Amino acid sequence: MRIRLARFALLLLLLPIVAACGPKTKPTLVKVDESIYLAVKALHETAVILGQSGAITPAQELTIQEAILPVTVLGEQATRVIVAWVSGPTPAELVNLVNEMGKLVEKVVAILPQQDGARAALLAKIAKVQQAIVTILLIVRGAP
Amino acid sequence: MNTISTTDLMKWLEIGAQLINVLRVPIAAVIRLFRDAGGTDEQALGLVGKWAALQTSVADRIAVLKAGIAAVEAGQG
Repeated sequence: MRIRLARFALLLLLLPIVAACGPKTKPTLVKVDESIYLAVKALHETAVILGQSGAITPAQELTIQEAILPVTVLGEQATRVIVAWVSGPTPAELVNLVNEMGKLVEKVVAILPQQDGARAALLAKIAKVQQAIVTILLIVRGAP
Repeated sequence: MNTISTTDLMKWLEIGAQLINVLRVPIAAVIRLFRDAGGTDEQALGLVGKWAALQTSVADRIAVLKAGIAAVEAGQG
């Protein structure tokens, strides 16, 4: 509790710095989008490595890659909307991207291989995706 | 670059506090999210291409996997 209060107090102390820089919604959306992109890309590449090394079967990797594909389509669509976005509510496409990422995580967790190494590698990537989801949910929830 | 209002500033501060307290994200990371350079329109345009390239990469891999699985099944049949 003390640590939380201290952190919050520090955040308030940093208010002038943050305010002076002017929190900018669009750049934040772009950076969040980029973090989602990097997480999904890492998930794709990890699945390829695990598939090529035999840590997961071709069928398992196929299921993972097929789950990733619609997220990449939505990611491109959401990014195009963000490019054109000026102000207003969080773009619906971004919300859809969050929902699809949630489904992706569920699918990948459901078919996680039993081998410790492969499981840990995918879980690490999933953790990044989940972190991106939580971050974007906070922004979506706070958006007007 | 569109700077947001005081009300929105408070909203972002609340989000920052949540990131720190709930997620235990390092303060430096939160500050970076708000004030670092980046997130420009140029970067957003670049991301469109990156998403498209990733889409192609995933689709190609799916094709390879399907072909491999089909070949194995044909061999077994």
